[in-house]
Amino acid sequence: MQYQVELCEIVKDYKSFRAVDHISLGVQKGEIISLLGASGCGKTTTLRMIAGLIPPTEGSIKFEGIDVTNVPPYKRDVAMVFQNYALFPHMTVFENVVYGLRNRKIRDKAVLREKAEEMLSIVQLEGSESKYPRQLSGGQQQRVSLARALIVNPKIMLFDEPLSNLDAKLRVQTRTEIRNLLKQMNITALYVTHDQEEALSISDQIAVMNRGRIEQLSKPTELYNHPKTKFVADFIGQANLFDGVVEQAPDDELCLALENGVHLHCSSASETAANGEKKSVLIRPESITVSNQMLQTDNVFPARIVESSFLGSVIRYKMMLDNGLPIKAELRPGNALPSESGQVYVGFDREYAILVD
Amino acid sequence: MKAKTKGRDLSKDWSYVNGWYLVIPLIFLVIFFVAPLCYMAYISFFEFNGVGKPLGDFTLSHYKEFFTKSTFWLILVRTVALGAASTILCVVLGYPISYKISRMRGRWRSVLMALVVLPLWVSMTIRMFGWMSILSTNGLLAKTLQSLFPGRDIKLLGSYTGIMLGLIHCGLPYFIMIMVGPIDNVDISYEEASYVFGAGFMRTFFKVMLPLTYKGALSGAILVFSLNTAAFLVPMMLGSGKIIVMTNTIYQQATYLYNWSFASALAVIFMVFALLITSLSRKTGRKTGSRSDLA
Ligand SMILES: Nc1ncnc2c1ncn2[C@@H]1O[C@H](COP(=O)(O)OP(=O)(O)O)[C@@H](O)[C@H]1O
Ligand SMILES: [Mg+2]
Repeated sequence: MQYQVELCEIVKDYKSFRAVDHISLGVQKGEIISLLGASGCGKTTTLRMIAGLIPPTEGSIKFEGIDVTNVPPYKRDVAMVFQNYALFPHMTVFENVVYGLRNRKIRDKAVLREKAEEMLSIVQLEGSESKYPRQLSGGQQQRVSLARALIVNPKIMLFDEPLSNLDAKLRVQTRTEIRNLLKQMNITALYVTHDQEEALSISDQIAVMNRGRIEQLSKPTELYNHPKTKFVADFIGQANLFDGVVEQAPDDELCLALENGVHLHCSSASETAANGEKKSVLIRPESITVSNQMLQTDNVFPARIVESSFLGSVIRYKMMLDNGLPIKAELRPGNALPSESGQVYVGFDREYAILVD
Repeated sequence: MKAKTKGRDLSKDWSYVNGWYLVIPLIFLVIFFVAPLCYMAYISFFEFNGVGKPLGDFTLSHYKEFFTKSTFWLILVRTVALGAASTILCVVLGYPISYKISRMRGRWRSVLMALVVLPLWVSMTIRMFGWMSILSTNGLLAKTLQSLFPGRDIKLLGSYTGIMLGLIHCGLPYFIMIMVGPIDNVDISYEEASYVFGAGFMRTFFKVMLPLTYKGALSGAILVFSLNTAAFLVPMMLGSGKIIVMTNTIYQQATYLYNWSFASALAVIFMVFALLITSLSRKTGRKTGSRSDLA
């Protein structure tokens, strides 16, 4: 099995600052992988190294098994959708779209016309050939830049936060369109974003980055349901996280002893936890049940509601357990508690308490 | 009509310079620039009887003399050719330097910028004197070249090469200073997009960078051309009196031959030509640029 694009132990130093720290990653043909991380964690730097715009300090980059670390960008056969679109302002939409083809020595006017028309119809911009970028809206410019990239059928398509300049609604719509297009045309893509929802919905796999390193590379569901580290658990979605020490409960199930003496029954799916090991536990707010009555779940704690906020599809409760731990829960509006609830019970089954490093 | 008054009111609201402040520089310009220029054009049409004496009859003889004598034509052509050639070289040499500077950030950028401007702090006469010593037969450059090409007779001072070196030296700092801004305004992502989509260095330059910085380069070139055709000290000091251009001729006619009317005619002709060339290049530049710039 050979990767379409493979990064081997890539490092990028800016003077004494290490922007990218030993990243290894393989992207298979037709796969969409997202680089997800907070601003400044090295996503763009990684992308620019793959494009060949900056050289890595250490490590190598392979396209289809061939080392391209020292190949200049214009010979790499990549395509990129820039955050600011970077459409050439002095060229028409047509000239922008066929720019890559012209550079690939395709001179036949008829071929260029036909290809450009095809691409523009794919991105639903038929008939805009003779317009200039400044005459288009942000969303349209974005689609032109997509057409410019799709037309060259690149070895890998690189996206650098392509939707961050669009408004929220368009963002949601465009990301599904992008995914469908990439899948239809079987294009390999690396997609940089700081928006977790975008990453979760668009990618086959997500690489969560933190301070120049990849913390975890997993499928979106796996990433959400079974994060490996506390950082990932906290970064993706909402999380309740508690530190503790692993203990073997009498019934041979896993248990985490928290600092204040509370014992949490945990999922034994994380097979690697050894007795006495320091771990954290993740409980997603939506897997918590809150009720006025006593609950029959594996873990039950009495609690008080500190704050509740209505968020449309859910109501988020901030609560304080009677044992002193703060906890967040999300309930559907249908299951909402009466606003004057005093003592409540918070419960969750052991399979929802996931051990992370 | 309504829109017009509205616009005027707006500009009045926004201007924090009282219109009357413009009067003083305006008066200054009229008295010391426009009026002498007009007077100069005026006396070029009359016979000149000597400094301080009344002008003679109306005549076109000064203009006739210029246009019928090939010596003067040649001088004009030489002036324009030297200006044009040195301008082209300033553009070719200056653009990459401006590019490098505008893509730099922080301390190095300021240092380089200072180095570019540094020559302008020194008086032109002193700089040209420096060039004279470098170019003279015993000078550094001439000697080096002589040792590299032993058979040839190398003369730099009093040659076109010498004057060209001087003109480039004078024009280059201005061109670089003017170009840094326009290049800086081109977001680096345009260049990167060009590379990513398969264009090499040359294609990126001609397809992206040049079209996007065209106007700036044109302004810079026009400024350098104006400065270099009007250069006086460079041909005077590096030409050794062997290479005569318009400015020298005018100076000669005015100060040695005391023929102010003919000098004025020369000045008027020179000015008209210079204005024609610059406005023409600006216009053709606009046309070429408009295809890409205007939607
Ligand atoms: N040319 C550069 N010189 C110095 N530091 C840089 C340069 N480019 C990026 N950095 C630093 O590298 C880190 C990663 O940058 P970047 O890859 O752009 O982050 P991201 O795209 O994840 O927001 C940032 O802290 C940034 O300040
Ligand atoms: Mg970035």
